[in-house]
Amino acid sequence: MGYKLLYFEDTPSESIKSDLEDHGFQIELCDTEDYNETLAKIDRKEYDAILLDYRLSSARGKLDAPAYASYIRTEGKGNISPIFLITNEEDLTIIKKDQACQNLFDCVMTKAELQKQIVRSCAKFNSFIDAYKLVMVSHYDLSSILGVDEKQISDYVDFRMIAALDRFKGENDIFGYVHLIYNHFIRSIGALVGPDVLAARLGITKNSLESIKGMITECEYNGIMSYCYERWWMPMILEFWNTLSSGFPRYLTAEERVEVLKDKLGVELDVAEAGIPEESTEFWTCCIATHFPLDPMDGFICNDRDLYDWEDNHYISMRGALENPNMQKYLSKADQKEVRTYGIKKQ
Amino acid sequence: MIMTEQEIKEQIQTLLSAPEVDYSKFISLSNMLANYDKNNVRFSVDADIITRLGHELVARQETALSELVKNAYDADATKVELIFLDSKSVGGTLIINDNGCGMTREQLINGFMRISSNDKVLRPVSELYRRKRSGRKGIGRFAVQRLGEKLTIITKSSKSDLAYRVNFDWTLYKGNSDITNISNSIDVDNRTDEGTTLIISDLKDVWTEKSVQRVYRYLMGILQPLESDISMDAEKGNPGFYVQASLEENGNKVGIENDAINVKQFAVATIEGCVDNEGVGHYKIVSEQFSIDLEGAIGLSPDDENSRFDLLRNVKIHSYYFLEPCMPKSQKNAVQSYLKMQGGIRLYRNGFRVLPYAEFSNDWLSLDYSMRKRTILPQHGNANFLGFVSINDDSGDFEETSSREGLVENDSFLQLTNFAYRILVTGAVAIAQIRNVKVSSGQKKDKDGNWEVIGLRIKNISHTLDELEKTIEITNEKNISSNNKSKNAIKSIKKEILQLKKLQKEERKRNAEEKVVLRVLSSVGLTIEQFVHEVKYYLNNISSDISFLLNRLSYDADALKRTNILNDNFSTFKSYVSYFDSVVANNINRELRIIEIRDVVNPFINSLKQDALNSGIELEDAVYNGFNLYCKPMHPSEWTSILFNFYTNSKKAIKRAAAENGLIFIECGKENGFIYLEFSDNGDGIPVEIEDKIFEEFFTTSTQKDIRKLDSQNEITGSGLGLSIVRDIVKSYKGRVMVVNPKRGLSTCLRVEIPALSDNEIMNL
Repeated sequence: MGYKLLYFEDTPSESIKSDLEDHGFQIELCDTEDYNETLAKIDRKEYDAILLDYRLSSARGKLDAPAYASYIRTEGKGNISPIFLITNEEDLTIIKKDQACQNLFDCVMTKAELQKQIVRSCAKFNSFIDAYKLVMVSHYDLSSILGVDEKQISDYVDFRMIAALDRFKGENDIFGYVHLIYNHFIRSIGALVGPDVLAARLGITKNSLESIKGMITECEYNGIMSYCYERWWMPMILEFWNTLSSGFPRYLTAEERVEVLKDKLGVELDVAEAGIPEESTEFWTCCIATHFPLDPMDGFICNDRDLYDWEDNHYISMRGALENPNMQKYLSKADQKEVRTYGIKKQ
Repeated sequence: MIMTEQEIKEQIQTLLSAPEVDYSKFISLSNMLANYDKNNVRFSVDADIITRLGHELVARQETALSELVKNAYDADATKVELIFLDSKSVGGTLIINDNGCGMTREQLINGFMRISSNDKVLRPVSELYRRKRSGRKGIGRFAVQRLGEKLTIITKSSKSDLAYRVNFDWTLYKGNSDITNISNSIDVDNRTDEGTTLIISDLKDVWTEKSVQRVYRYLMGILQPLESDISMDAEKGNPGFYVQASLEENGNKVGIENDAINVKQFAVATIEGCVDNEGVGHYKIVSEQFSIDLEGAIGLSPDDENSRFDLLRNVKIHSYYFLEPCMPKSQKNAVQSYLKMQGGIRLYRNGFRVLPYAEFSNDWLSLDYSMRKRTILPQHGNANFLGFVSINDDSGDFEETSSREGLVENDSFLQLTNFAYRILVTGAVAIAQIRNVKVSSGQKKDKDGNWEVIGLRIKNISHTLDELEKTIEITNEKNISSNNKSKNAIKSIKKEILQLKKLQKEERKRNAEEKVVLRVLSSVGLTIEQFVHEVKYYLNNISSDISFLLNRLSYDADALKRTNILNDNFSTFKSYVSYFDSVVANNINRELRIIEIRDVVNPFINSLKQDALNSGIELEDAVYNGFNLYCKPMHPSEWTSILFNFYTNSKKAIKRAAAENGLIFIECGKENGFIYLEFSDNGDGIPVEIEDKIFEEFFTTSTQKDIRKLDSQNEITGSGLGLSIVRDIVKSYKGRVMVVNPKRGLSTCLRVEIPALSDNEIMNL
């Protein structure tokens, strides 16, 4: 039996309901016409997660999603469950900027996204529900939550992140705990890396990464959300590298790294290429705009989101910044100037 | 050595009793003696003043040389020759030779040798050709001292049988000696032709071909290249003034070409006119640049081109017409500053220039006044013209005022200004009409209304009123004939006003039509907004229903096929709605933003790629030539609207062409300070004959084919408003939109140009 979602919706919703049901969820629809009845439903806790439509006041309802979500997060009597927000608005930044929406939702997506990527969306919902349950059952045991042993936790995970997680643990705030791991550990570059960055750091193309994935299964991340996010522990990758070569890969060119890999692993691998030929191939990250591998020395720091100390900076390449002018606002003033004078002769 | 008064007196006496008087010594002694004058004191001048005047008043060698050339001009020379001998190193020689009137011994002594003489102030106009003499201060000649250490003057005047040669050595003019104490030798020379030659030796500067060229260009700028042209027509007038320069090094002579700007060549048109000896007026406007060759008659009354100028006979007008936007960039400043000083219509009476007409700031034809009033928009100020009016006045209708400054403003003169003004304005308007077409590049000019015509009418009325006023003034003295005249004038005013009324009515109608269009459009906009809002919700639901059906119907081939079609149709519909949605969302934000073209084009392509594919069209990724393609602040939804209009037009054109593989291609870049966007497709193309119509309101090609074939299934019916909206948007940002030659073998290419942000503005964003 799949998880049960309490779905708040004030407009016809049979389509989404059917879609979710097709993917294994049980759906209890809840129109928000009667406020008290709605709250009572929430407090009965007969569900695994809550799915909210953003706009709940367009028909007969009186309050929009944030009001219900903040009730659940704060006043609710022990309501511990993920809350997902779906919306008709095309532009999610409006919601993300809305102060009333901060720190309420585990995941925000448009209805179009939900329906287009229904499989992935459902996997995400399930992962969150699983994560909440695991945190609860394990009493905030980080090693089982991240899928590694105690020693590895203290070796690999930044102490400041552990301290921040301990605060949420002290407040028994599962949402805050999962939120931090999800946004600032899994969906971030640091102890964990995704396939783009991993390929860049190994100096190989993403296709070639497929051919050596089998050899680095031990480095894979198996903690919460790993069902939807393919991640590797970077410290383990480096340990793996050390078994092949004594040199540190950071200051090797992509060719040199691939030489080592080919030599020791005996596989054919393609060397990753830089976005602009004259750029360095001592890759260590990816351009967040073009996804080309990038040597941070060649890139500009892109402050597109707030980062904690344990997260690596986001970088954007010159090409990425030029081709995506809307990203230029995340650069420092000096870097903006450099991008904008590209091609203009300096007086 | 200090001498007593008595000693000096004695020395003078011995000096005067000697057979040959040493004048220099005499002067210095008498100066010394004068110092003992107990009752008076006198100024004396230090010889160093020459250096001061030469060096400090004339700092640059160009100016120094031009002072000397000006002197030749003032002396009524027609030709000046500059020869630089071995001047590529310091110490060369410069010979300035003119064929002017030269100087007699008296003129030399009282004129040339007298510092700060007021000859030119007393005689501001040259004797022979009545040239306005340029020098006033009487110190121009010391420019010579700036150029070289030594000077020899050889001069011969027609008033004297003898030629003279004077030698100067400027190095003697040092401080601490009195200027009168320094003597310069004068001899009789064997020169026979009139004129003056200055030989400046021990040149202080190096003169290379390049620097001579520069000076030469400078000289041509201060002279009046048109003078000769004009006076050819004006018969006995000024024969012109030519400057030649050459450089001689070790006997090799190199002539310096006149590469100075010839202002005439930048004229866009020539405007000519005349009143013959029967009072009939004609005009002729010729412009190679705009292929105009226009001839016509012009009458006393603006409404009757056959009416005669009763007071004018044998009047000619000839003028070059200049337009700032048509000048080459490199010389624009030079030409404009020249015209600012020299422009205007000069007046020649019986071959002689009458001042002050067309002097700087003289506006005798009210051209500048009329420009300021802006009743007629095309440029027609004094700085736009360079020309003259010549009158042959045997009967003496045009009388010079007693002060010799200008003509008496009588009826004849009034008719003359009326005639000249109207011809010039006719020319300016004719050029403007043709030019406006070119402004929108190959498109016919869009209707800016009747404002220019209205302006001209108003001008005519005011002219007639002027004449009427004049007539009334003299009514008291004269009688019935002037009475008739005023009646005629009133009649013509009435006629003008009637015309104006008609034009105004037309304008009002046009404005009303435009208002209706705007109202319709705004309500259409609101409806779309409402519709999009309502419909949006169902889109996602319907598509999820369709995908469900697609899954379930996999066993039923027919139903699956049909559902697939439904799916395609629906996704087309969806992309339209989402596009309108973004337009509506953008419209909420009314602020103007600085936009990088990628930020509007990329989202556009992404959102319509699928829709295009559903119609069998490949919407290619855009090609960007260059980075940082920032436009001047614009409203983002306006770009959306431009692109969407182009897109729907292309889609229709591709459908009409029934092409197998539709293709739409966008290219953007920066050129001449504009961001351009070229939108190309391989549709059925735009026939040349309608190229200029497609940007007009309510013009649509959708009805070109058989109208019965149109139905809601295969055609988005065009309102014919699309491209006119594009034009309006683009125009409001001072941009342009036009049909251009397509690249890559495609059939249509529309190009939009919007002013770009300057490099400086980009850096300081």
